[in-house]
Amino acid sequence: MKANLKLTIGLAGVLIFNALLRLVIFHSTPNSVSPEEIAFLKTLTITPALNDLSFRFLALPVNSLMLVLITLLVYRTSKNLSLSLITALLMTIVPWSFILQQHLNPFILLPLGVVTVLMVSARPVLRLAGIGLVVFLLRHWLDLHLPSVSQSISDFPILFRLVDWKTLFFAGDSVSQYLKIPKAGFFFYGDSVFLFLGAYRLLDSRFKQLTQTVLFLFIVGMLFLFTTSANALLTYRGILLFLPFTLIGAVGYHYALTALPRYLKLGAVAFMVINLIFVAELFASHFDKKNSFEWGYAETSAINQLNRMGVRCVYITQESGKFQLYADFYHKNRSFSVEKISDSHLKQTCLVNNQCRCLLKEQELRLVDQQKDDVQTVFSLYRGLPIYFLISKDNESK
Amino acid sequence: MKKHRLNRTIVVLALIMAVGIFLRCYRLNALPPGPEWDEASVGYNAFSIAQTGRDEWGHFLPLIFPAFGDYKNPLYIYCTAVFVKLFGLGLFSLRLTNVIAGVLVIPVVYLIGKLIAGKKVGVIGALFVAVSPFGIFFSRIAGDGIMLSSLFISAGVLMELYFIKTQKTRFLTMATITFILAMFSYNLGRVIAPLLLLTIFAVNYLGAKIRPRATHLIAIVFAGAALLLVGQQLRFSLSSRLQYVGIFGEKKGLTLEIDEYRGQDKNDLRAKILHNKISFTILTMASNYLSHFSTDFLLNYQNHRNVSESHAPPLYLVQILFYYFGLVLLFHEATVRKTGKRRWLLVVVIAAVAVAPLPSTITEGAPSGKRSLALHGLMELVTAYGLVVFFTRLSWKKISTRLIAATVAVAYLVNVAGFLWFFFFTYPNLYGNIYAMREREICDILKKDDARFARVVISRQIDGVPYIFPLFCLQVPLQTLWQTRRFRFIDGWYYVDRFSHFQFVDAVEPEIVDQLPKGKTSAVFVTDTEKQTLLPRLINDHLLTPAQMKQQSLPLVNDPQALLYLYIVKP
Repeated sequence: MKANLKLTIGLAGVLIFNALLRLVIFHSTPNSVSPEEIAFLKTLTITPALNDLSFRFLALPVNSLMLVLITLLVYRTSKNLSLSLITALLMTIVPWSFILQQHLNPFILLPLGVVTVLMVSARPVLRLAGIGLVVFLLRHWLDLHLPSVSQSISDFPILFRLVDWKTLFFAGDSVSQYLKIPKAGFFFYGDSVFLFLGAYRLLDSRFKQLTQTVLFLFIVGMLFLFTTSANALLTYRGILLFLPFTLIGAVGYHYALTALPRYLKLGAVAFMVINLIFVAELFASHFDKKNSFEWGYAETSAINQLNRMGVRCVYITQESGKFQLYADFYHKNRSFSVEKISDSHLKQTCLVNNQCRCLLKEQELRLVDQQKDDVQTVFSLYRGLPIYFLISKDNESK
Repeated sequence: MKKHRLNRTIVVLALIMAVGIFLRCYRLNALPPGPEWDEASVGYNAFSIAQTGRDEWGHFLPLIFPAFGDYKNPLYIYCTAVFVKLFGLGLFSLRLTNVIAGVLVIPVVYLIGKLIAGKKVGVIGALFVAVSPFGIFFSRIAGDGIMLSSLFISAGVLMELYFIKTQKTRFLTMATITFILAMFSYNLGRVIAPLLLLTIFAVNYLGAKIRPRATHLIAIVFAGAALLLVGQQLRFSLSSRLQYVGIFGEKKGLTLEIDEYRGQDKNDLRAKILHNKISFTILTMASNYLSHFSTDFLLNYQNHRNVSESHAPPLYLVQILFYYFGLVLLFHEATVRKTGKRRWLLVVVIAAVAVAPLPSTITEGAPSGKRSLALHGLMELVTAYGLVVFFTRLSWKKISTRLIAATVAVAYLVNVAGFLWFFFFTYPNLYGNIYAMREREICDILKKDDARFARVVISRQIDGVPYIFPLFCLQVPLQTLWQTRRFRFIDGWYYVDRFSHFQFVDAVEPEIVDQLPKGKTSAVFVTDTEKQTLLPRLINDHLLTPAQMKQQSLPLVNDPQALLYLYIVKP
């Protein structure tokens, strides 16, 4: 009873901390909506206002439930209260899980589904069937398919790269910046040490059940990777592999905090705190700047400013497909219409004195005999390069 | 019985070595294709030493070879000079030293394995080395003494182990000598050898107390040799190899990255505390170091255009779990045992595995196979150890154990067969074009037709150091080179502009026609870009007949990334 009370209090603390992180501290990072979020919001038929990121709070109950279930799962398999709470805390802040919860995407349902199945049944066959059912139900949202022989063979190098320690702890997804915390991996740098400690500790017979769960999750994680699309982000493809790594890391943290001599314990705590601060700063101060190209900051700020300028209509070309996507999504929040024109009509349309303005990319400026320095109104990436150029009617120079 | 068992072991070892020799010698002349640039340079300098005792720049028995300005290590070139003297200058004599070194690693690994864990581990480790992808690849290239250095490192470790076991000073002396030889073979030796020798001091400090007076004396000898090496580098006033390839330096990626992150934080106090050389260097080095023990480096085939790096990984898939198991076992046993020689033997092996990746860790482009080649032999040994202990702990009487063993053996054979197919059949087609393909084509033409040309012009757009190929393939006499060479020395690099009737230009421009000897046949080798401007001039000056124009407009080398044209003209 006492243990249950402690568990409840500890878990509540973790959930409050989690909520603080999502709702208060990092509520506006990433600072724009991504094309992937737009697609998912359309599926959910949610249309937020421009600059409104509160739809991301939808992930919070999913995440919270997952934290509760994983805490209970670890408690049930290890009978160790502190280990369970450390696991929950780590799941809250470990980079791969953190970044996944910071934007709305269907993959957040996957760890929840898997952990639920693990809680419901202890038999491997039933667990496998349950997880298979979860994957089957989510297959369209997650773009999953039965693996082919050729793709499976070509996925082995991806698997080796994914579980590579440089990738896990330092480099992360080196192919796409979309969900990558700059200069960080899928885990904290220090997790490389605690993972070894955790693996060593799991050899202890007291953790036999937890070890079996971890091994089971590794097998499931590998199978899941082979069902994902080759174009999917590494973060998504490895999501079920990161789960057992996190469990092992939690065991390592627990070992460091309970079994080592005091001076090593203090050193471990200091190491963790420095690690956390470093990665948190990278996320808070550098994520948007480094990854802005993949998100919609330029598009939403362009729509904002065009609204403020009272523009009635905007011409874009085929090159501005991303702007079109955002303009269509926020059609209720814009006061101007958007029309597509071909490159050959740009000159006669953009420079003629009418109500509409042309919004062009840099490589199209030459088609209207303009240089980028000539254009007064420019929409840029977050603290970055200019992306869209608004052509004025009377050819004002800077 | 013991003699019978010993003989059986020797027979098995001999068979393993025969396999190793075959895999390292089969089609040595052609696989990989060559020579590439460093091989040609090593070859010609070896030829020069064999003929005159001097290098291509005229230095008598140098302890470091300036070559292009990259200052090659001496030992490999001297060894190759012996084979060049015996067999003449060619790919076979050029690569033979590394082949022999690669083969000799096999018995060294056997002896180390036998010493620390018994004959079974030694034999299996030797087998793993014989068919190791790294072992086969690095034995067959000759751009530097990479495999030679790896051999000396392994031999040095073996001598250290014998020293610990027997406490006889002669083994420590031999370890010192081999480590010194490693330092003169390849750059990785300069980092690893001192650290491995320090291991003996560390072992003594930790409690082994093995002939401390002798170890101190040997250290003095070693330090003297090291100073000699460093002194040679300073004499040539070269900017250190570390500045060229290392992660440190003002224009390096690390520094640029720090500036970028600080700039994003507007260089405030927080940025200076978090984003500085110390933090970023620690992260980079930790990341680089760990990568040598993880799956992307150990298992994945790499797609790059580096002629001196293996495209195949060092381990086979079936070996990886045994490798990790072996590492854990070694570590566990070394920490659990409080006393005894075996503990110190294991400490030395663990230390060797731990320091082996360091040369690669501090350079850009980590993980690097060639810079971490000190792991070669040790990796296979640790894997063998993990494998033997794993099966020892299972009951051999059980059918399941035998089934597992059979599966592992079959999987291993499949892995090996897959690699051998890749290396001997797929690799030449896939990567043959990165091995100085255009330069080899030029060599083939020169070997046939050089006598008819009064001038041969080769553009540096084809090759940054084109002069070395005519030197190598025509075996130009040293006196001719020394008497006719014109060169420039810019930013630590030698640019040879002329020797004999060869002329090397930064880019071939139409005005080159005015410099060609009148009334005599000249050959001009150009790239596709240069052809666009040269050809109109040749046509304008009526230097090409329509038939010649048609023929010479076809490239000699038709690789889109490496087009090569030859124009034979007579102004």
